[in-house]
Amino acid sequence: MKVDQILNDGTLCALSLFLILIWAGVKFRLYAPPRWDGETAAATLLRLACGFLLAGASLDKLGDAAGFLGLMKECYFFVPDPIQPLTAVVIPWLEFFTGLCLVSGFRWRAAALVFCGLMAVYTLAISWDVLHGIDCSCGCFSKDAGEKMTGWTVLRDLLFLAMGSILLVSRRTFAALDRLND
Amino acid sequence: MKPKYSPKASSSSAAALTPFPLKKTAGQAWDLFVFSAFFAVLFNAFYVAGIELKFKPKVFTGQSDRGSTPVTYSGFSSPASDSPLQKKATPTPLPGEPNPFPRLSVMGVKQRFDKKSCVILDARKPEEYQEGHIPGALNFYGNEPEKFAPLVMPQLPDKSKEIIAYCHGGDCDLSLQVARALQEAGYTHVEIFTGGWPDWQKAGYPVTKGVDP
Repeated sequence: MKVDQILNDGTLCALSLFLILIWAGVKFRLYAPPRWDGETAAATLLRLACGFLLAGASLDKLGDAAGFLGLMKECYFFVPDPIQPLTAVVIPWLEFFTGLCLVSGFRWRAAALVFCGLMAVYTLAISWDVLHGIDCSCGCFSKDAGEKMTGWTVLRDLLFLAMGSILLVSRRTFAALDRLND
Repeated sequence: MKPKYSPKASSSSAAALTPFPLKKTAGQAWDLFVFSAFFAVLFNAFYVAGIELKFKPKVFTGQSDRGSTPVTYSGFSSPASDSPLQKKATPTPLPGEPNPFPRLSVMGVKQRFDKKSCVILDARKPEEYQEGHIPGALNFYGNEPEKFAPLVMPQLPDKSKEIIAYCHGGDCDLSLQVARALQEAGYTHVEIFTGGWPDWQKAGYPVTKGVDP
C-alpha cells in the first residue's frame, strides 16, 4: 500500500484530532503528565506534525510549476489570471520553507502564523470548489487526480488550521533552534 | 486567572503578563514570505522547467495565425457557431512564444476523455504506444511527423476538433512537436497533456495495449 493511500483525508483528520486532543488533555489538566512539561511537549508534537505535513505537501510541486499552474487554471480558476503563474511558483516554496522552519524550530511562531494563513486560504478555496460542485483534484499533497475534494478535505484543513492556531499561541516548544521565543 | 500568554511563567502567581508578540511574529512571517518568494522566483528563472511569470493577456487579432479562419470572439456568436458559453475562443499564439499551446492536467484530460469530446494523440515511440496507451489514442510519433502525419491526419478531417497530445510528461518535447506539426497543418484546437503517460497511469485510469482497432 502506498503512502498517499494510507495518508488519506480520513486518516489525516483522525491524526490531527488525536494531536489536538493530546494538547487539550494536557492544557486543561484532564491528565497530568509526570515530571515533564506536558504542554510544551504537546506543542512540540504539533509543531513537528505541522512542519512535516507542510514540507511533505510541497515536495511533489516544487519542480513542476507548470503542472501546478495547469491544475490551478482548472480547479482554482477564481485566482486572478495575472497572479496565477507567480502563485504557482511561490506557494510550493513557501510551504517548503515554512515546513522547514516548523521542523527545525527556527522562527517557529512566525512559521505557525504563515501555516495558519495558508490553511485559511486553502480551506476557503476548497470550500468554494466543493460548494460549487467542481469535480477536481485538490493538489494538496500531490498533483495526482486521485486527490478528490470533498467535505472531508475541508474538515481536514480546518483541523490543520486548529493545530496551527494552537501552536501559534503556545508558550514554548522543545528542541527548537529559535531560543528567543522559548 | 491564568495568563493567556506568558513565556517565562512557571506559575500563575509569579507570572507577569507578557503580551503576545504579534508585531514581531508578523514581521518574521513577512520575512519568511519574502525570502520564500525571492528564492522561488530565482529558482524558477534558472530551472530548466521554469515557467513564464509575466502575464500575457489573450490577444485576439480577428484572424487566426493561419490568416484564413476567423477567430471566435467570446461574447459574440455567428449563426453557424455554437453558443459562446459552450465554445471557447481560441487564443492566438503570441509570436516567438516557445509553447503557445494550452496545457491540461490529468483531470482535464479525463473529463474530455469521458465526454469523448476530443481526439487523443500519443506522441511516443510506436513500441511504447503498443506497450500501453490511453484507450482510443492514435499514435503520432513526435520525432517522425513526416511519416506519421499521412497516417493520422486523414483520420482527423475536422480541423477545429479538440486534439490533445501527450508523451512521457515532464521535460518530454514529443507532444510539443506533434502539436506544432498539427498547427502547421491548420488544426486550430491543439492542447498538450502536461503530465502525459506517467500521470495517466499513476491516476489509475483505463489503459489499453497493442493497436486500437
